[in-house]
Amino acid sequence: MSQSRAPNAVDFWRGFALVEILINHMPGNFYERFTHRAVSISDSAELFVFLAGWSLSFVAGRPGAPKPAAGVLHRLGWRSATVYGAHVATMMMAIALLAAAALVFDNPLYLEWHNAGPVFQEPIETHIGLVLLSHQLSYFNILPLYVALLAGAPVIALLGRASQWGLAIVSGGLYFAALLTPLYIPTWPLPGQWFFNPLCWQAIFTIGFLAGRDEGGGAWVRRRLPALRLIAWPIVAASAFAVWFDRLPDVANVPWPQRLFIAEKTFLTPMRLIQFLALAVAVSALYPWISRRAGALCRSLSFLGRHSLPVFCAGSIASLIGQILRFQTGGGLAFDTALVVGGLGAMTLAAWAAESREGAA
Amino acid sequence: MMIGAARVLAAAWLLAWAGGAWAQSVPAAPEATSASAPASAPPELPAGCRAPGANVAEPALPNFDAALRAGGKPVILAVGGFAAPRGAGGGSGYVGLAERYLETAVKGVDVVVIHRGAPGALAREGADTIKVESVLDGASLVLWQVGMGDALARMPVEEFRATLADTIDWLKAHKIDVMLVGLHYARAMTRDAHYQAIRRAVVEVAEQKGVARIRRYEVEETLARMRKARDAPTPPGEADRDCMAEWIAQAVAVGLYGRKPGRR
Repeated sequence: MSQSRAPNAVDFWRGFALVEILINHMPGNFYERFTHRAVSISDSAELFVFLAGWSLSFVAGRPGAPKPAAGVLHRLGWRSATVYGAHVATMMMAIALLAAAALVFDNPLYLEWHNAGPVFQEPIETHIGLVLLSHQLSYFNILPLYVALLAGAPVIALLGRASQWGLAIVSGGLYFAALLTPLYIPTWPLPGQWFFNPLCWQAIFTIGFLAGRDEGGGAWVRRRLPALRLIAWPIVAASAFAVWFDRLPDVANVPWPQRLFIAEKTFLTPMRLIQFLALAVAVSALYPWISRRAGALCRSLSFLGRHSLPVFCAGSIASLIGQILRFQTGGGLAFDTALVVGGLGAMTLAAWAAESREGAA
Repeated sequence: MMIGAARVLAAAWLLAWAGGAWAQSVPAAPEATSASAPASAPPELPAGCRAPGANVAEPALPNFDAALRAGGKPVILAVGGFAAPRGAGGGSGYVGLAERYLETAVKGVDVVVIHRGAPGALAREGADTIKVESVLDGASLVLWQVGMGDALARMPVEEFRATLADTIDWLKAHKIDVMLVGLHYARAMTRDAHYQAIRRAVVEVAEQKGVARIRRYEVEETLARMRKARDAPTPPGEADRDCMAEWIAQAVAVGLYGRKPGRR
């Protein structure tokens, strides 16, 4: 068995995000109200992408010992291909699940669910779209974002090593250009746009990368976390109030450019981005406390987060199975509990399999 | 008189497109050609698609009419899965066909259709999309396919009803018309209490708020009964969707042509 890394904050919070994604991908289940999305403008998607960017800082190498550029390119390219393959496999399993449910339960409605309709109705064009990532199933659209971000990660890593300010300017420029123009990646064959706009979401990925560096902006922030929390907590509290009491700004009542003043997930508008960063600063003090007082929880979530790709794929399939079963049975507290426990079990099994494979390698 | 005729033609096109785009298949049937006949004559329905007895509520689209009268490019925001694949030829799906028909039938009219949101999205997700996109895109009409996601997710009916009603109120307050498309008919769902409750919620909210509703469930159910009465085989999904598209387009066009000019 290989020496897996010890529990740490990045793996812990990634595992936390994965558990929340499992629950939130079964809408209507009892435990949905306990995820932080219930009192937060941002959700586990921001956390997941931010931590992916943070991890990129390790791939780039420490400031005093940067990894060779060729090695960075190779590793990121291979990672992008791996994520792409995992996405395609997971998506085909999801499509097969919906088809099987339609047959077993004699209910054609399953074939229309989660944007799967064109797969069955217009298979020629849609299968091309599936391979090109231009057709995405609902709840299976974050891995395409991740593939796109990893494709651009070499630029982020190498530019960020050379000049953090240069990277911030380029990333910020692209973010605001996409936000205000607006620029987006179109879907095909159905008209529309990617649910997660990579041109905007690269900003939080880049911020995660910069935050993870031992020099520059990330180091500056980490040295001043106690003071920054004095600013962060009021932002978090205000956003919780706004979400809980449905007081978010009405897009019709804000000035142009409206996306600067509203909360919108597709374009990762500044309201979502700032609230997430405030939340990250505010709760950054929690991990040391959790690791001391809830060691088992810390180890469990870190274990999941250490193998995020197979765990995410397992969780996605488990949540889809959960949705199908909830529909067939009507749900309820006991059933929802069983689904969440079962989903966690599937995710743990995936993590164990990944860890065992690493140990055997 | 010309402006009134243009409004009627545009409304007929709109609903013909809505039915066709909702069918989610690339039209190649002769019926699509007949839709481009002189707009004063509603298109003929194929025999297998005639479903008598299912009424269609008259839509009230004052804001869309006003946008047409004002000139420019009225924007229709379609939320919840109306798009059809464009086909290998590009732009040849229902959206492209409907837009070309309108531009041919009513000279100078150019309508923009924007698709947002995936099929099966929850009402609360659709509501968020609508509130942002309708303003940012300058929509004068929202076509909202709603209910399927909530039915499949077993969302609380009252929560769904409240979201639907609040969103319609918001649209009305912002002078944006809305047309609802409810749930599919499926034999497996006829005895599902929650599914029927969501369906009734769409019906009741549409009636209470005085907004147009495309009666997809009722029409599909009628056609299914007619086929069963004739002991006819169940057609493949695409053929059924073509029938539905034709019926809805024709029925609403008849309803529109039968209305007096200026009546709402």
